[in-house]
Amino acid sequence: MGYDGGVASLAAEGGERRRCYPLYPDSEAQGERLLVDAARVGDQGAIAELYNRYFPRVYRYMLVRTGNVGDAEDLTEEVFIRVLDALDRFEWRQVPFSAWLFRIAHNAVVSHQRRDGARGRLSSLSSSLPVNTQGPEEAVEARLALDEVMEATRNLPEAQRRVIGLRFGAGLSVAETARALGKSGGNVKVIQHKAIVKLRELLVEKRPDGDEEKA
Amino acid sequence: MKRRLEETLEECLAALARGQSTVSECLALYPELETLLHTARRLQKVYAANPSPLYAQAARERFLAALARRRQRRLVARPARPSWRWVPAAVGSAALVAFAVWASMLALGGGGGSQEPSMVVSKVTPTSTPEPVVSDIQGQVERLKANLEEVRTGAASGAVEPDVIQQLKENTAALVASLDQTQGLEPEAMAQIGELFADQEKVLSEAKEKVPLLPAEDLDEIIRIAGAGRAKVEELLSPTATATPSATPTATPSATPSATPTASPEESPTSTATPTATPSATVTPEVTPTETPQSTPSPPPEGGDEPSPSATAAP
Repeated sequence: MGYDGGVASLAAEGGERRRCYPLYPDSEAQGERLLVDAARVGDQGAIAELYNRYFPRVYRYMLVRTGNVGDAEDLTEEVFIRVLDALDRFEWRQVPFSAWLFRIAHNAVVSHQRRDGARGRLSSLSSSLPVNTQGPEEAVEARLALDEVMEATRNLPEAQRRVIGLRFGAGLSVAETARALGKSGGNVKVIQHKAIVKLRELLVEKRPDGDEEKA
Repeated sequence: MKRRLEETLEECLAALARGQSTVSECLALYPELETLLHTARRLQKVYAANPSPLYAQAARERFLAALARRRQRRLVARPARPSWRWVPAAVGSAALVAFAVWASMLALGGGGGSQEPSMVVSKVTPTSTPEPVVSDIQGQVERLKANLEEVRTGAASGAVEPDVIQQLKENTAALVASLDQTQGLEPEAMAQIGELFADQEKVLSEAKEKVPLLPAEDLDEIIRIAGAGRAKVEELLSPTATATPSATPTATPSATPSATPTASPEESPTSTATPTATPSATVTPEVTPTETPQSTPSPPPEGGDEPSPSATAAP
């Protein structure tokens, strides 16, 4: 199971009440702090554990930002190598580790966009991506939905895509997203709202029969 | 009104995330959120995609290899001091040792046997370079303690992250596995590990009762692993065990061949500033991420819908 504190752990199927997990409890923050401190002084196990915690989140963030699996895979690895190089310089100055890490992730995306052109390569997103479904039919449906949403997300403005990536991909809270972006929480909420409205429009456009909810 | 919609949307998303509300409950309160909530739910489902296991495994191996390379570089970089620079330190240390020998002989009335000088030398010469195995085990113990603390506090509040349980399981198993290589580990430290396992069994049993939603089979498995670990520790600590490490400090000297005192271990992080030689071309970041945010213009000029200027903090 991936680490999906925050928005990504919202009720999934039918909006039913799920397990009661704290969004970002103090204990978790404290545990992470211990882990990060150990990693900073070179504890290999702690570094590996941070990697385990953040790998799926960075990967999902990269999926949102790049819109294709190949780039997301390359960039995810690049981010962790950068983290490895910079970890001993990380300091707790009112910035949570997650915010620091996703700033690195953002920089990696920016560098990638400069290298590869404006919006990255376009390729089939979902073919190599496992989706969390029961049977093959559902898997096909899920992959179609995945492609559709990813394509719509690619058409969002940069700032909106970044917020969606952090909130829904990385699973950061509004506060963490705000820290990572250097914005206020209010700003993040506004951008999130605009992004969802825009995505809704784009998805409905794709399905003229207005069948968006079924996906 | 618009502002309110953003707030209520986030309020609903947060309530759903905490499990305090359902979509239908949210919609009953805020029917205007219907389309937005459905879209948000769809986003959540789509972005719950996991990387393919093959890629994840390969990426992890590459990362661990990079980690090992860096560690190796650090270890190699440490004694990179030019040999001539050791001369003053060596001379100083030799003088110190000679003085210690002389002082001890003086204290013994000048009649010290042949054993005393070597005893003094063994006390003065720092031979306590920690075994990497020991430091790894210590790191594992610290992580396990942190995990356990998370479970303990989580159980007290009635909510424990499933990932914490997963990590606890992995860390417990890793620590138990590490008990096969405990050379250099003090018996006290070993006993503490045993206590940690016992504590873990207790905490998990309590958590099982307090948080019924936790997966009982996972908890039981961790308890089993911890129990096995505790038994292993007891076995290692028992006097009949042949594998018990010797407690004599100088019996297992460190692998450093030179007898020169390593009083200044040069742990300074400046040694990490050596240029990276990682194979991937994408590794060296042109924007070195540091924690102090700098104001850099955000790359694509397509913002415009943000209320604030598009200066982003780049680490």
